[in-house]
Amino acid sequence: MPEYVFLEELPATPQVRTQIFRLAPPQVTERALLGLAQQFELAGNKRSGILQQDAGQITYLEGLFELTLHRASGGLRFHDNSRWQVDDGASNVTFGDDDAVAFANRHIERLDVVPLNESQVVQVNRLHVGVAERNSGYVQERVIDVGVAFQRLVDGVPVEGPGGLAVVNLDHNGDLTGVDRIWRALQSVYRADVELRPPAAAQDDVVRYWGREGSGRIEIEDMRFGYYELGWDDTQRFLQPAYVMPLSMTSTVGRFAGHSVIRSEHVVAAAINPVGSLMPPRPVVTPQMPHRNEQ
Amino acid sequence: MSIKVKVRVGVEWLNTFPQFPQDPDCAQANIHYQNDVAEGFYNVMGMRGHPQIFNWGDGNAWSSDFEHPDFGGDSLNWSDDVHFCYYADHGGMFEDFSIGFATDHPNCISSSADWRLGSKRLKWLVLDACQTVLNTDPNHIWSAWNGSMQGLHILFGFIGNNGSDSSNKVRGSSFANAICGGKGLSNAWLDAAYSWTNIKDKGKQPNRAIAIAAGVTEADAVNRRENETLEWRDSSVASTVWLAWKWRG
Repeated sequence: MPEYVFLEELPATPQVRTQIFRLAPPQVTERALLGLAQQFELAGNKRSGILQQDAGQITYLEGLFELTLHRASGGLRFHDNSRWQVDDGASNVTFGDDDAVAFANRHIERLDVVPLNESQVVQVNRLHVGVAERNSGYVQERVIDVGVAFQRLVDGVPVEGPGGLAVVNLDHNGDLTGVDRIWRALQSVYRADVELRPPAAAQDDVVRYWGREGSGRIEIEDMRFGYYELGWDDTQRFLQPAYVMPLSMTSTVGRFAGHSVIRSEHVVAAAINPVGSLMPPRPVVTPQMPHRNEQ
Repeated sequence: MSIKVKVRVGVEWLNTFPQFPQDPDCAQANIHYQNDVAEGFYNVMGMRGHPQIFNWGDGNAWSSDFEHPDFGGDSLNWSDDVHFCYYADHGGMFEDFSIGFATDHPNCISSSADWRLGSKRLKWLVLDACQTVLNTDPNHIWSAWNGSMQGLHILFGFIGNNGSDSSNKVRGSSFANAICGGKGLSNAWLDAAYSWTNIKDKGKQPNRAIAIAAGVTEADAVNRRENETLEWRDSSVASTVWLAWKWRG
């Protein structure tokens, strides 16, 4: 059986007012997309650009600008394809995190990407490029892009998960090259003032989900509390509180013994009476069939 | 978008390992979602018209599929007989990069020292596993991969440990959708594999994806890193003199 290790002392049951919200259906229509294009300072009409649709998303292309809405989540991606993640061969970002956040705030306010008073900066990352040559040992490295990530807050409670996030990408001048946003609209309160399970109950859920078969040591590194919003292509009807537990697995046998072999995350609804579950059922472990023969 | 070239695809993944095998190196910790990641890639590539050549999981995934015949392997009939190969499971940087298998066909651990990637047909390899490189020191990247890249155009992987969870297990299918839509391969990998989930895990590194392109000249390697798409299938790398990489973190 894997060994389960909880590295941090369990937090107390959160003493904050939490609710379960019903989410508004995503507005993913041609009209909504063209409206957003105009919000992002494009012409935003069918004479100036083209629309593409498939089962998962709808995209508006105007010149080298690309604006996509994901049908399931309403998630938005706006990229200047001439500059987003593109190396021009010379540019190098030299400004620091504080400047990056200031630039990003300005773009977010100007384009009305998300309400800044309902978000907090959660990460500043950089896109690096490098080259090296075998014979001479020549090396060159540069930073060509900075991403500033904003985490959503609902009544001051952070939103965890791949959603509830907006990322602004900047070039070496601090100019905008892209925006990614998953930020589902709240429609109404479905259940007010929900009672929360104690964190110990969430601990038990980890062991139930990850199982008693096999080997390894599973270290649960932390337990965070927040609302939980799903990703780009996930349909979500309710926003509800959750306990989020980042974990890492260390192998205890064989060649990888002592090595951390994978990181993961366990999420469990925090309300005593939640709406559905936040993770899919535990994967069923079935060996691939038929068995492969020597060929 | 219509397909102009067909890309042969093969995937290998492991979730489950025996607990008391004859060779203790085959006993690894079980993990989740590796089938989702690899088969997601495989299924989307197939749906977009690319030939699906092999999908080997758990005990059906063998080390010999990656090892070159010079080292007793059979890579020229498997990983190097497709253009795009995707491996999802345990990985680790020991003396060389190594990946794990659940059965000893012939080894439970396969080392990159025994790989000659691209010597036949392989153009692109995803190592959806921990520690494709340990860090981004150019000397480390170079020494880790220049010997194994023998015609491979681009290697996709992770810096340090990677993570798989219920929300990012779609990275294989997202990557396939993007590249089948004509996106550049390196950017598509960074976009699909950089973690959106544990970005909120303050103080911890999220999944840091890296793409490493080979070239005969600096311009060749950089051009591949920046612009290569599936359409570049037949644009060969005559020898790996330069490496150009890109990562977010």
